[in-house]
Amino acid sequence: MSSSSIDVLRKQNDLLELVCKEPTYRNYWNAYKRIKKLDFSNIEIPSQERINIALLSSFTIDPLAVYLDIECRLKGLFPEIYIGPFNRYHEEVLNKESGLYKSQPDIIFFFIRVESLLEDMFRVNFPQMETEQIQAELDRVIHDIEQLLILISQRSEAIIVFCNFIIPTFSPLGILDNKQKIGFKRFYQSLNTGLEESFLNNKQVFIFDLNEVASNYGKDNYMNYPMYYRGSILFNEPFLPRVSYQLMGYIIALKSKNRKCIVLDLDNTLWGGIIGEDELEGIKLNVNYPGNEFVDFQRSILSLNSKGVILAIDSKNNLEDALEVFQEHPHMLIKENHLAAYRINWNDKVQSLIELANEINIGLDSIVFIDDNPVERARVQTSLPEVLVIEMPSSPALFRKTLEKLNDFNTLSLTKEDLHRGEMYYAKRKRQDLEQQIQSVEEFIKSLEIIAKIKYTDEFVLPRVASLLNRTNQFNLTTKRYTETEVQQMHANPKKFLIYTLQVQDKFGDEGIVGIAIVIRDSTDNWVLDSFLLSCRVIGRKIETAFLYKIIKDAKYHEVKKIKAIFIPTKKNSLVSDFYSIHGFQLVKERDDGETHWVLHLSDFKVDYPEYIQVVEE
Amino acid sequence: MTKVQVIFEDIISKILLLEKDQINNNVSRVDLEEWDSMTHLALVSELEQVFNIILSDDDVTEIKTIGDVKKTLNKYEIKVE
Repeated sequence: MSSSSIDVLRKQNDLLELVCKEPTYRNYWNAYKRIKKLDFSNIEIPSQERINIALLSSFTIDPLAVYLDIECRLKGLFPEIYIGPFNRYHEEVLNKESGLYKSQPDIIFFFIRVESLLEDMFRVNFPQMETEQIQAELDRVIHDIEQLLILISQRSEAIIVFCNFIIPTFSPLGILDNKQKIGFKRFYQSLNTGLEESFLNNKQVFIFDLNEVASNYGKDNYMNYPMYYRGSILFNEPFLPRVSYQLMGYIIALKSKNRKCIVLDLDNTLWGGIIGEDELEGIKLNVNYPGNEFVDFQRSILSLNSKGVILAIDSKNNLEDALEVFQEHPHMLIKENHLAAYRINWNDKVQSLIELANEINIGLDSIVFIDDNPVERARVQTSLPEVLVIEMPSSPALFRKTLEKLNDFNTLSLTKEDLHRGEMYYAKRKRQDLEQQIQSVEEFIKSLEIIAKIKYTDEFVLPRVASLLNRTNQFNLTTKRYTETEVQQMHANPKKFLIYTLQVQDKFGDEGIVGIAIVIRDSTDNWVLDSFLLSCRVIGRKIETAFLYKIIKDAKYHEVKKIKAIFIPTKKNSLVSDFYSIHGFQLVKERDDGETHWVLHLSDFKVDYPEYIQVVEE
Repeated sequence: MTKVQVIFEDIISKILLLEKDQINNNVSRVDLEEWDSMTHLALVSELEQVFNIILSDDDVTEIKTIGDVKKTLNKYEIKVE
């Protein structure tokens, strides 16, 4: 690629970035106009990334083109938009040599106000019209539109999307409107259902429910009257992105940019709480509040699954714990047989996502990633930009709504099989390239700007200390449980016991106290690591190393010779079985029940904190 | 600059495709090729939307320069000068 074409793409990218940052009308306009001035002629654009769009309308539709153009580019497409001359759609369709056909559209959007097909005085005469007259008008209008659309479909291969009519909120008949056989509103409604019926089995013509988009937005506000009279511009500015978002559903499907698979996290995504900590009975998943939020979310996921969306799991958990929920929990609606694949382990989620894509044999650009944890989301987004990462709201009550707003799972029955196969092949190759490019875990952790505050506990946080000691199962070396009174007693005896707390902050916020360690000062030469635990929220960022090193550093300061430690295995803590060996401890003893005893000689141990974690010692 | 002035300048520069240092009261519809009738309506629409006003029909037709836009907005208590 020549330097000038790289420059063109870079300029386009800068303009699109500005739009994403501030999606105002003027930024869309600015990007649209400036991109139009760029010369793309030297850029080789593969045919699957090109799209020709035609807009036909009975009013000025140019402002919508601004949004459609930019939305296409944001999806990686290079659109050419043909805008038919204002209110001359009949001629455009009838004349074989018209600009419409010359533009060789892949998709045609048709916007007609029904007024353009009715007499000017229709609204005035309506209250006095006989039912038969109204019915005749109804039939005539439907027939006219059918003829137009069928004619286009004979002359063009394009997908034809006809926007239905917005049912007015006003009727001259007022409260008596629905006391007529065909009231004013019923007239519009019947046009819409009539058109849907006409094209029910047509694979090329789609009736788009513009009426519903207007309802969702608010019918009082979708129309801009001053702009309508000034320049036949019908739609209000803020209504435009709502329309273009819905129309993109057709374009995404046509260009096979649709997503095929949802990859889900488990803890706090499919159920409330953490299975490894809260156990089967403790997680929130129930017919009652708050577990009902998760059950309802699962129902929406399954509704997509039953129309063909693939499901997979990418979770950091002990496999047995997680599978127990799928197999045993009475309210777990998603079952193992709904899953095309899963990765439930303690590996990096990005790595797991790549493995999932390989196993299911789909492209990363077919995947939607749903995870409640913003850190995991950011990691996936930066490493795998093709994956659609959903910004999940912090309240699970809004999970269902967030999922149902997505417009990315649409398909047209018209997809061409061979084009599809090519895409698969392409995707596979691209993924292999990518494996070399992923940002390393180290780089990512570095970008989090982690601050670990490590200090001796104070009075105020003793309840939190006790609670963590009693609740933490997974990252817990000894799983010793102490009551708050016992913790209090240890705290009151600092010559014998040291209780450390670890607080973690990163650029996404403050996690609070997430780690506890208890040291027994056995003698002047010996310290014993009695408890060492970390909440699973922060596992996998080398924070545990920083925490341990701080204790080692203190021990050296107190001229301690060695630190002894024990690993007591439980059903939950296999994750940390090699924690001491990784950190340079020597194995002293291994018992039959799996309990291991370790020692670290401090004389030749040098403390080097992981460089990307800022340790604050107090 | 006041917040309103910053927004005003942003609207002008984004709709008329002008750099900040190209914006002055004398820039006119006659001289600026970019400022065609569709752009003019986009400008009016964006001003109305952002500042929550409706311009009179005379205002819309009589705006010939950026100076005119400012004068018009001042009439609606939008202080951009």
